[in-house]
Amino acid sequence: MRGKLVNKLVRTLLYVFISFYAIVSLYPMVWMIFNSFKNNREIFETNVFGIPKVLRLENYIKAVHSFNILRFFENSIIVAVCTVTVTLFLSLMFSYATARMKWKLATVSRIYVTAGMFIPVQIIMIPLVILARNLHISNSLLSLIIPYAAFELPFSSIVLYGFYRTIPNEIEEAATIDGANIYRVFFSIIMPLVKSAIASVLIFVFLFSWNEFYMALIIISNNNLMTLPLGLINFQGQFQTDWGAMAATMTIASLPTVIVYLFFSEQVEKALTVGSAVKG
Amino acid sequence: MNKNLSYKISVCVFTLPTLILFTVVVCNPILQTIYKSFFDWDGISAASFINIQNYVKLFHDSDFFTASNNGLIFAAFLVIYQTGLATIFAILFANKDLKGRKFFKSAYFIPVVLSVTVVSMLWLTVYNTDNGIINKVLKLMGSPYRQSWLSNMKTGIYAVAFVNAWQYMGIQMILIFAAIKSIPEHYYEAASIDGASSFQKHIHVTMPMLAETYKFCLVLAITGGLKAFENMYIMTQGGPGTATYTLTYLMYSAAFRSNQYGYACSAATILVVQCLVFTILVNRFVAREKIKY
Amino acid sequence: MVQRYSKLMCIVLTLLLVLSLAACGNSANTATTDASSVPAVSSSSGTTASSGSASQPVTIKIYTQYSSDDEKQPYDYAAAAMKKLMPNVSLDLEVEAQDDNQKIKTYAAAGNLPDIFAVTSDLVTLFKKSNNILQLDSYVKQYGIADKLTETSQSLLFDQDGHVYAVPNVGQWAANLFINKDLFTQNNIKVPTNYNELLAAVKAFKAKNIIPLAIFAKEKWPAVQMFDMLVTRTQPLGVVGLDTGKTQISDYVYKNAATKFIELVKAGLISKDAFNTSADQALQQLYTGKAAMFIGGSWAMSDIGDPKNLGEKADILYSVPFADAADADATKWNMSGGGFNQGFAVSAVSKNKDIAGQFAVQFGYAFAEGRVVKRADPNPIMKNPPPPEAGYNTMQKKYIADSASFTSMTAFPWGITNAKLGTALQDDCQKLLTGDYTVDQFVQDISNSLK
Repeated sequence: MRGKLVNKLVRTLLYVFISFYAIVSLYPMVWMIFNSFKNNREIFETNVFGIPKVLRLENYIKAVHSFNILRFFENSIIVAVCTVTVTLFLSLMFSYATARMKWKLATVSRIYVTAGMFIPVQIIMIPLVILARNLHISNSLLSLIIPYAAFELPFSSIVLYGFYRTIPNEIEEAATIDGANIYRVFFSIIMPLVKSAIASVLIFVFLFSWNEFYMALIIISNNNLMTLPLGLINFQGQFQTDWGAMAATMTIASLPTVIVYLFFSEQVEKALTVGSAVKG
Repeated sequence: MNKNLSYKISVCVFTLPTLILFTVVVCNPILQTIYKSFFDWDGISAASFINIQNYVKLFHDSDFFTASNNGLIFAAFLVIYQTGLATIFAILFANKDLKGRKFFKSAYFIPVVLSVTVVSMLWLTVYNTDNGIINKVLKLMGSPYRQSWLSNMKTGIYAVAFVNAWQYMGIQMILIFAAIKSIPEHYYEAASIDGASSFQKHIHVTMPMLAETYKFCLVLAITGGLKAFENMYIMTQGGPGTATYTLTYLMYSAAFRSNQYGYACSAATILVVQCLVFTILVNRFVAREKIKY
Repeated sequence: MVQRYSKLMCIVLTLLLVLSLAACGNSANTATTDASSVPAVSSSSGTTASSGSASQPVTIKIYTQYSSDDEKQPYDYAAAAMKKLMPNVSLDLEVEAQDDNQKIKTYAAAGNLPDIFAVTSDLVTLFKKSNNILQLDSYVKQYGIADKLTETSQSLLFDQDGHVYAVPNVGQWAANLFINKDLFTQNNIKVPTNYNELLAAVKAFKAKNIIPLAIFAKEKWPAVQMFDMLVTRTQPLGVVGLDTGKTQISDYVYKNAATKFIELVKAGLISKDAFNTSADQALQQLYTGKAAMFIGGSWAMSDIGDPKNLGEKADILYSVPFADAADADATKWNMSGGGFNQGFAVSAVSKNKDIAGQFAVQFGYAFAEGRVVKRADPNPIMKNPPPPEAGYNTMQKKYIADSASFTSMTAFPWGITNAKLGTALQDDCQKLLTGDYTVDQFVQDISNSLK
């Protein structure tokens, strides 16, 4: 009887804790939306954390009029979709080869690509810009897509590697005995088994390329090729910043990511259940 | 023979595109960086070779030690907070009895979705002594204690590290959660028959199965900490003074604020070496569990 | 199995399609003229360079700040003025970000600087060394710019080597101490006229839980400026003396300034939050009566003196309260702030060098005019400034009357030509603000940085 009571108490405390953590996690988004309706004085002094008392829609009007928001949006979508596609396609194949094929340099190649995670991007911006110029892609979105994909390869390759390693060897062996060639084994047997991993990697890569500010700032010099996060620079002056308009821009830029995440997390959940059924 | 050849070709087909892209875009610039670390160079004009003088100077620079130390603090903080909490949450949410777990899991991931600018700016406000939430709560509880979290030369780095740890905890949570989910049910069933409690089940079944994921999470947290930059850039600009410099910030400051690009390259080289050493250590000390079926 | 392969083909085709879309997206972009406020045409599509071909349409790429009204209004004014002077030139504006000049330096390193770009003195030094910046002497002569400028503005036009690399677009901004007069009268605190009174005021405000000085130390330069304001009370060269090598950091004046700096901080000069206070936030503290004083440049006058904010309640004390009682009168008009050659520069590799040069010179001047007309800049660079549209506010009128007596100027940190010194000053003066740093450490760290 006492055991049950303790159990109940522990459960309640647990719920209190995870609910509190959930509030703390959700608050930044709420705060950002609140700020998008406030002016500088409210943001800093009079109403720092609360609900806006006056809805200052002019922040959104400024956000929409200060730069070509539709073009920026379009660019962001093209860059994100291409980056995700290229990264997934390449890393799926690469990590398959390093995790499940037998060749001399498998480990070396894997570690080589892993090392990409160590590189501080700030120092290689100048070489990257020169590279983009030499490849004659400075004036196209490829100048973002190619570096984005290259920098996300290490992360996605390692995640996928981990998942490939958990697939039992028998599955491939059976298929090979049946006479299926390696490409068919890969596309029709292995890929479906790592669907959940694909979904996770997709979310991560999408979020990265959508939110990335720094490389985009330095690499892109044509107003027609700018991505959404760059819209922020239109409100940050040398001596004054319009924080309300910045929050409005960030709100507009963040909504797609939240939607993509909520949609795909559902898919991940589904894929996971299917995946374990196959293996179980 | 023929089959062997086609196997080799297929290895090439699978790996070459990645290796080429990676070499051209990531490896090539970093090799140039290492090369330039032996030059006195402002980043634009002609460079002059000065042997290892940049490194000598680096090891005599007190900011370098502050920065390295801060990198270690940052990394340790990320490991403890992110990997620790992520494990607890992942196990909790893998438990089907917990009501609303889908909601909680999504909620915990939201900070990852937002841009680092939003999150850093929010925490700047939270840390504020006059208007900040933390000090307001302390006041409500009647405590006279006030802390200027970011403005203190000693606590600044922890305050910044916390923001990063908090924001990206969700990544590790999702990775560990996915890995737990891919452990076949019958392992747990076997353990249950042996009479293991749910805690024991996690220690004996879950943890070993996650060795590969943990290795990755550790590497992610450690390298993330060592090369931390964006939070400092937005929240403290390395300040007060140089108290929250990390190696990346030192490198950035040298390259763009004081036009010592060659010196910045030497800091970058040391940073890459640090990351490499830690990755090797993680791989050596986190045991590779044989996966048996 | 056929189905499987078709799936694979689908993936590959999608990939190709998307990639080609991205590649073509560009060519399509250059063709469409977009409706944004910024006319965007690729600079490479400009015509070949030839001077005097006034009728040929040319697109000049310009890289400058265009984010707050302070920057947008004068830019728009200058762009409109230039439309009349050089109608064949259209501008392609790229907005400059607050990025410690990373982007412009990367441009220079990659050899593709925009035709016209905004520079500060430290950039002039760097680009001069790497031959990226065009000497504008002949264009300045052609349009008689030097003759149109006031005496004090000549130092903005000429680099320390005597040549022109940039045409000034703003006046000699001074750094000033601003106050909220109401807070002083309400709390019976004397408005300080020398250092001891300043120290007393700091202690008095601190005791009343009012922040004595709102300083936005989230940025690193205000601390340097305060240090400079202290130094200029005895040494008019300020921190610029260190830059030109005429003085040493170990000189008594600098040590004395650092000592006073620390004394003020220990007396409670700033809020604990100063290090995460942004400029906008510090101004709000001044406006809402949370803080009594504020350090900022002359550019802040139009906002502080605006009746919407402080209006008549505001006053400007220059650097006077930082002086000892004995020096206060003698050094009253040693100003902190100002600067050297800065403004709009032209790329040395521009395809339209000549046109860009002619344009930049006139554009800089028109921009400075725009600052007077639209922003009521109280210290115009030109001898015969146009009247401001909205008139001057009380504080600006006072400043204009006083500015005739200014005897010397120093620089803001972006006017320091030695980047190593500039960075060290910014980092180490900020350490002074923590109060957790000694004068000896400060002197040591600054001199180390110069090795």
